[in-house]
Order: sequence, then C-alpha cells, then structure tokens
Amino acid sequence: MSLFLVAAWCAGAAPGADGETLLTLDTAQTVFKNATQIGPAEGSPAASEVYDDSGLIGYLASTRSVLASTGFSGKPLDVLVGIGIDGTIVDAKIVEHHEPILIIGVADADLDAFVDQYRGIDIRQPVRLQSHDDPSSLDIVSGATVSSLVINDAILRTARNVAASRGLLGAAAGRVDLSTFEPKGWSDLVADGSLVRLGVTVGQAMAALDAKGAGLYPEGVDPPEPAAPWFDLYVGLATPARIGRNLLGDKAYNRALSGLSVGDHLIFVAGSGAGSFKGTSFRQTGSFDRLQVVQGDRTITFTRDDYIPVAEIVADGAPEMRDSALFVVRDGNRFDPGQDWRLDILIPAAGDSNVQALFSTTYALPARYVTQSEAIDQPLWLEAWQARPVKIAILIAALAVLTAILVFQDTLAARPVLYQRVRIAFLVFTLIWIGWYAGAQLSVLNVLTFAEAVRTDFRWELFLLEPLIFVLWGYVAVTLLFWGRGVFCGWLCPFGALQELVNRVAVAMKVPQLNIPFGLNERLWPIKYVLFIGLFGLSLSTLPFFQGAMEVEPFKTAIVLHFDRAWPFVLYAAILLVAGIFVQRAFCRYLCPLGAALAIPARLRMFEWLKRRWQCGAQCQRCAAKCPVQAIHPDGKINPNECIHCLHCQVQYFDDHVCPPLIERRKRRERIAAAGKPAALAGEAKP
Amino acid sequence: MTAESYRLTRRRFLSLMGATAGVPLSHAWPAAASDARILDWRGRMLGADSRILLAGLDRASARGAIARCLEEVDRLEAIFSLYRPESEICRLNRDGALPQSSLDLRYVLGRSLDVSQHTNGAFDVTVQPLWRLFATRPGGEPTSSEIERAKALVDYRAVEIDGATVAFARRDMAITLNGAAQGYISDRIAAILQDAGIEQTLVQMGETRALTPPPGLPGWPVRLPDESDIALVNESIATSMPRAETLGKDGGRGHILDPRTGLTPFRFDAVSVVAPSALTADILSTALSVLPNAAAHRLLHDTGATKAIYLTPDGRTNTVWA
Repeated sequence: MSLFLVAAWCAGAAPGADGETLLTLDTAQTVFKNATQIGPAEGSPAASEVYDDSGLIGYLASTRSVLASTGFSGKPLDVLVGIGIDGTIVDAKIVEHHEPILIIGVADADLDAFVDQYRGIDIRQPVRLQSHDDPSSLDIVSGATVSSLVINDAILRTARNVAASRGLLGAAAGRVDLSTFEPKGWSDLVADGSLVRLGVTVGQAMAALDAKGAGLYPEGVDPPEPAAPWFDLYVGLATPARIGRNLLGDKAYNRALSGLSVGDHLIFVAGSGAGSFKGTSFRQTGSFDRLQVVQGDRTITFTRDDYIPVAEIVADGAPEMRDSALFVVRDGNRFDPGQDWRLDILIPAAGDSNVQALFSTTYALPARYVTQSEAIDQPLWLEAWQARPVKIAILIAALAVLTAILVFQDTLAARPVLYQRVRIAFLVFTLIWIGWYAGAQLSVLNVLTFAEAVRTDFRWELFLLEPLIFVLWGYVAVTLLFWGRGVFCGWLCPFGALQELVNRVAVAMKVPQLNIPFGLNERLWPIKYVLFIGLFGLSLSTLPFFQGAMEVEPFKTAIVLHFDRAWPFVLYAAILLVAGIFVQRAFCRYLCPLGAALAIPARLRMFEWLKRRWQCGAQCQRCAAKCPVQAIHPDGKINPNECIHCLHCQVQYFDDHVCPPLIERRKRRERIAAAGKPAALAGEAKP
Repeated sequence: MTAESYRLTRRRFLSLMGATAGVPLSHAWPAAASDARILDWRGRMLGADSRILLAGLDRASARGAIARCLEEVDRLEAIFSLYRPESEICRLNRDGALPQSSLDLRYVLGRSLDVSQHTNGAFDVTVQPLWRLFATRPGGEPTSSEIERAKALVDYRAVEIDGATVAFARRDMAITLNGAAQGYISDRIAAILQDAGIEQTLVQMGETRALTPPPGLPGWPVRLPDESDIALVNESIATSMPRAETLGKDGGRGHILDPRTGLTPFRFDAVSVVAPSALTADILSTALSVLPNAAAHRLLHDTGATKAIYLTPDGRTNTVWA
C-alpha cells in the first residue's frame, strides 16, 4: 500500500503567536525561481517553508536572523539562503552587507559571483575555500579574504543548522570515527553513552505480559521478587575502536573486525539477569528470535552467521554477564551508525502461551565518535591558521629580526654600511613578501573595524580570521607602546616601503629633492588626522560613501591588488608615488589615516630610545635637515607622531664624520694625539 | 516500497503540512478547550485515516517527531501490509512459511493467537481465505463448496511459531492482521513519541492511543459511535462497526466474519473496547463483534482490557466491564 497522505496542520483552540512574516514571496522567488507560496519564518532556527505547485521545495532562511551574522566590518551581514529538501543549497543572495574592503563598482558584482558559487552545494560535504589541492574548492573574492570567509561561514552554518533541524541531512551528516582509541573502563563507557543500559525487572516483564494466564514462569514455579532483574542489558555499537577494543581486547576485536565487509557494523549486547536475550532457538532455526535492531524504516534481524560469541569482556570493572554477544549488521541493511537506532527485545511467556512482552532501548552514538565534516566543527579561524603555517612562521621570524634591529639599534646605527644594507633588505622584504606576496598590508580599516567591534559585539574570531594581519597587529600594538608608530610605518608598511625604495632609486638617479619648509611641513601634518577622524565618523554610519572614502588609502591598489585595478585607482596611487619621488614619503607624512590612527596613541610610548645630544637643535640642525620625513623640530626634538623610526638620525648620531659634536670631538682628539707625538714626526706631517 | 516512492510520500507529507489551517481539531473538542496549542497531523495509513495530535510543541520540533513516526509506519507497513507484495505477511501467505521474521510480526501474531485460544477461534487471523473469497466476489455469492473449502483453511492452531520462523501447517492458509496491526502501529508510534520526550499526544492510526492530555483537560476527548464522548488518559480505544463495510450479495456480510461460520452476526452496530494498549483494544473489538455478550466479560478480564461499549441497533448503549 502506498502512503497516500492527505495531511493538514492546524493551530488548535488558541491562535498561535506566529511571528511576523519576515520573508515575502518576492524575496523567496529570488532564490527559489518557481516558488508559489511561502510560510512564516518559524521554528528554531527560524526558516520559512517555500512551496511550488508540487509542494514543499525547501526552506528560506536569513543568516542575520539565524546567526545574527556580522561581516568583517562588524556590521550586520544578511544573506538569504535557500535550502532544498534534498540537503543542497538552492541559491544564496546577499541582501545586506557593509563590507568596506570592497571597491565601488567591482565589489558587489564580485561578491555576488562569490555567493553564486554556493548554488547546488551539498552541505553534507565539507566546503573548502581556495585550496590548491582541492579543485572543487570555491574561489574567494580577491582582496576580500575575510569577507569571503565570513560570508562562507554565515551561509554554511545557516544552511546546516536549518537542514539539521528539519531532518534534511539524513544519513550522511557525519562519519563515524572507528579508529581513535584510548583505554577506557566499563564505567567510563557506560557513563559517556558508549553503552546504554536496558533494565527490565521481573515485575515489569510480568506486567508487560499483561494477558492473564500468561506468566513469566511456568505454573507451579514461584517467581522471584518483582524487583529482581529479568534483564540487565548493555547495548552499544562496537565497531569504533574506543568501544570495541576496550570491551573485547585487541585480539578478539581484531578478529571480529577481520570478518567484516566494508560497511558492516558490530553491535554489542551483554546481559545479566534471569532472562536470556539469545534464547536457544537460533541453534535449530538459525535465526535469533528475541532481538532485532530498528533504524528508520529498516528492521534488522540476525542469523547465526551474524553472531559472534564474546568469551570475555576485558574492560576494567565489567560486571559478570550471563550472555555476551556481537551481532553483525550487514552493509545491505543501509545501517548508518551515526544515526539513532533501537534494540527491540522480546520476552516470551512461559509454557504454551504465544504472548510476549516487548521492550526497546534507543541508542544514539555519542557525538565524540561522529566526525563532522571539518567545516562544521572546526572554528573558521583555526582553519585559517592551520592553512598557512609557513607564512605565519616566516612573518614571525621577520618580526624577530626586526625586534633585534630595534633592541640593538645603537650597535647597528654605529655601522652605517651594515645599517644601509639591513634597512634596504628589510624594506624589500616588507614590500615584496609581506605586501605583494602575502597581502598583509595593515589598513586603517582594521582600526575602524576594531573600534566598531568594541562598540558593538566584540569577538576575537573576527580578527583571528587573517592570521598574518593578526600577528602584525599584535606586534604593532606592542611596539607602539615601546617605540611609537614608527616601527610599523618605517619598517612594516609595504606601501611605505614602496615609497621609500622608489625615492631611494630617484635619489640615486640624482632626482632633485623638494625641501618643504618646516613651517609648511608642520601645517600639512594635520591633514591626515582630519582624514582619519572623517573616516572614523563615516564608519559609525552605514553610508555607502564610506566604502569610497576608504580609497584615500592606496594600499589596496598598490599592494593587495598589485595595481591590477580600474585606472582612476591606479592613477591615484601613481600620483602618490610620483610625489614620493620628490618628497620622501609624502603620503605617509601628510595623508595616511592609518599613520594618524597610530600617531595618536604613540604619545603613550614608554621609552625614549632615540639618542639626542644637548647640542641638537640648539647648535646643530644637521640631522633635522637630513631626516627623511622631516620629523625633527628646529629645536631638536623628535616628534614621535611623525617619526618613522628609520634610525637615520641615529646613524648620524654615531658617525663622527657627520654629527658636528662628534666631528668636533674627533678633531680635538686628533689634535691631542698629534700634539703628543714627537716633534720630528709632527714636523714631517706638515705639507 | 522503493526509496523513490518513499521520498515522494515523505515530500508529499511535508508539503501538505502547513498548507491549510483552521480545520477544527475535533467536533468532540470541548468549547472551553485547553489553552495549549495543539498541532494536528492528518494522513492516511494502512488504508485508514490517521491523525496525530501533539500538544505543547512548536511546529518545527513536531515536524521532526512526525518524520520519525512516518519512518516507523513505513517500516511496519513493510511487515503488516497485505497490499505490499514483499511485506512479511504477504511472503508468509505466499510461501506458507517465513523464516527470520521480525519481532513485530511475532509479537502481534502471538497476541492474536492468544485471543484465539481464549475465544476458541471466534477471533482468528487465519480467516483471510474466507475473507478473500467474499471480498473478491462482490457480485455473486460463492458456492457452498467454495465456502467449505475456505473454512477448512481457517484454523489458528495450524499457525506454528518456531523461534523466528512462522509457518502454516496446511497449504493455502493465509493470515490477515488487519484486526490487530493498526492497534499495534498506534502503540508503536506512541512509544516513539514518548521516547522523543513527547507525552501530550493522541495517536490515531486506525485505532486510538492516548498519552497525557493537554493541560486543563481531563483526557483526550474521543467521540464514540453513539455520539457521546469519552476522555482518554494513557489508554486506548478501538471500535468495530460490522456494518461499516459489507461484503457479498446484498450486503449480507460485514467486513468482520465469524471465522467459524463465515457469517457476520449483526447483533449490534458497533463495539468499542478500552484497553491499555491499542493492540489489545483492536483485537478485542474485532473478537467481540462475533462473541456473545456473555463471553465478553471473561475475555476483557483475561486480556487486561478495561471495558467494552456496545451500540445496539435500537440506539442503546451497553457497557461491559472487565
């Protein structure tokens, strides 16, 4: 007979407190093309049923309502996700985002193209992003890695939560971990649900045989106390090593496994008490008549061939058992060990009666044995860190080198040739490896995102998503307190390095340098603060203009996208670089909002490690005049808000051919040395 | 049933749920009903209107529970349905023997045979050859020799259960569990809901099994054939109406036959049995249709049932207590 179902739900006497209809048919049709009807958003997690003419076709959910998803910006991210009743993603559509990393004109299309990749994805399978060894992995939006990761996470978690709660995932939701082993005793296995107990007392068995005249014991035999155990059964899946090996010991477990085909599973049943779950009839008929396993619509019975006697339970503390056995569930039964199943057990009445009592126990394999597809279980950020161990190690090594440079800055500064080499080498590394290769260009956007997160819903996960950026920011935060903003600006900023290297080439080619009078220099400095405060203000709103305003930073164009962008962006970056040819680091000094953001807390720095002399400013302006970013005031003070900690002034400080007080001292020393020499020699020295 | 058709029915079920609203819960529902939100699932199973009422659940969790119930119904139909050629019962009827049968088949069969013993065959699952004879001849009355031949195949004592093997002692015997399986399925569905932590439910899979009523109600209200209501708490009710469906020429026989005579005794219009399990209620309501009232009390008592309520042709109600 086919299940002809005419079904209808109705709310009973009281009208239900249905929530407002969040998703309309129009929105549903952007995801489900053939939708003709949509239900209210309800259930946990909330989703709307979507119908076409043939009936239910899937569920529509919003990542914002299911997960309260936020984007990289820390602002709400909302993606509509359509989940088909077959457990695949029908389509996904971004309905709201405030991802500022994105570029006007290009970004929304890129983002939509990214989200389009989810069409038809089977959410039971792991979904990988940008993996070289996995051709089925999805492409991420170039230059918007974190946004891609966040959107990926929102879509998949929403789809999986909705699908799991609606029973759409079916059998393939997880795989069973058969190999992990750790020694465990009997009570551990019972306590963690690896074994379940079914206790039936004599009284319960007699009550269940409720027909009068049908007894558990033959007439004339006095039954034991009603509280005495008829069955004290322990049931579990024995295929996982952590259960089977602990119960049976290595040898018996291996022997049992060796008799299995792929897809077969072992079910362990052991019992004490007056009753036997095995009975004796299987010896004659070949089939076990007292127990069966039920899963979903499958009834699984056992024959003598499926039976493996268990001689001894070796798990520590195992109670004495009357019977112990393994039953093999053959692959053909479509048994899924990851799904719940139950053991049915019959207790026959004594004598000629045909009456039997029926008991059941449900077994749910503990979650520890079920390996979810990795994307489900593992936090997204952890995956990001595990995916790039080499990059992280190289960056940390580079930062260690930089720390050494800073700690031994005097020693280095006293060796001008070595200093020049180290400095150029590090800038080249910063530009090419950190910037162009790894794309780890810090941006004022990070600062604004952080501020936004602190203001709303702070989660480290969001920042951990980009390991290199996270490490760099951690380093910058610490060095900001010790040395000021200069460590980042002068050493770790790829665009800064690009400007400086371009300028050095220009100087080598005798391009005349433009000297900005200090008064003008000082009055140009505030521009960057104004820009930063403007961006900060914009970030508090959700104005679309913010995304455009972010482009005051040429970092994305010059570093992240390798100048591979629309010409206005390239032109802007080129203008800045050309300016940098004549005015060293013109952008850094006057425009960079990130520099401004770092300069403000730079006032907090705890140490004054750049050496000065009393003559600086008072008698001598030499290093002030030579400071590449003109950060030294005419009075000789180094302005920590402007200093890029390039150590240029320190090299001069130690150079007794450059620093006038040192020159003075050297000459005096030479004079004294000359005066102390024999006259004849002194005379010879004269021309 | 193939996986494909399973998917279709499942899809159909899910799609129709939620399609309509506002169907009155039950005409037996008291006006001052409980405040509880009742979810009402309706479908057709084993040829009967089916219904599951769930109180105190949101629709999403109810849907998960219903999905599990439907899998169980599907599993049990694969055992008990006479309309599925590969069901256990069809294989048994075809081959005369079924090794490695399910616990479910032997449990229901065991209870049925027990009632057969108690009633000396007034209730007999081996009535199928006789029933088939009338059911397949809607136009003409079978000859008396045909009837005699079929009657010779009706004998519960010729059903042999040896371990997991069920076999007939005579060729061409056949059984029907239509007077028991619906009750058993109702019990099983109730057990599945209970296992899922759902207590406030009423299951009607041909027969009715009630668990805890919704708050504020003395019991789940169920309407009896005489239009009165009965409130059920943790018990079951099954009703047989011999006249509900008639066989043979001029409707001379009801769908319930006395296995010993091949006739339907139309002594009353309906009999309802209240018992702890729907299986017992189902078997007894069939058995009491053909048993004299005098034997009813003893059968009710021996099988642990509560009471039987008869509706006589003149509209009176008789209740027999266990």
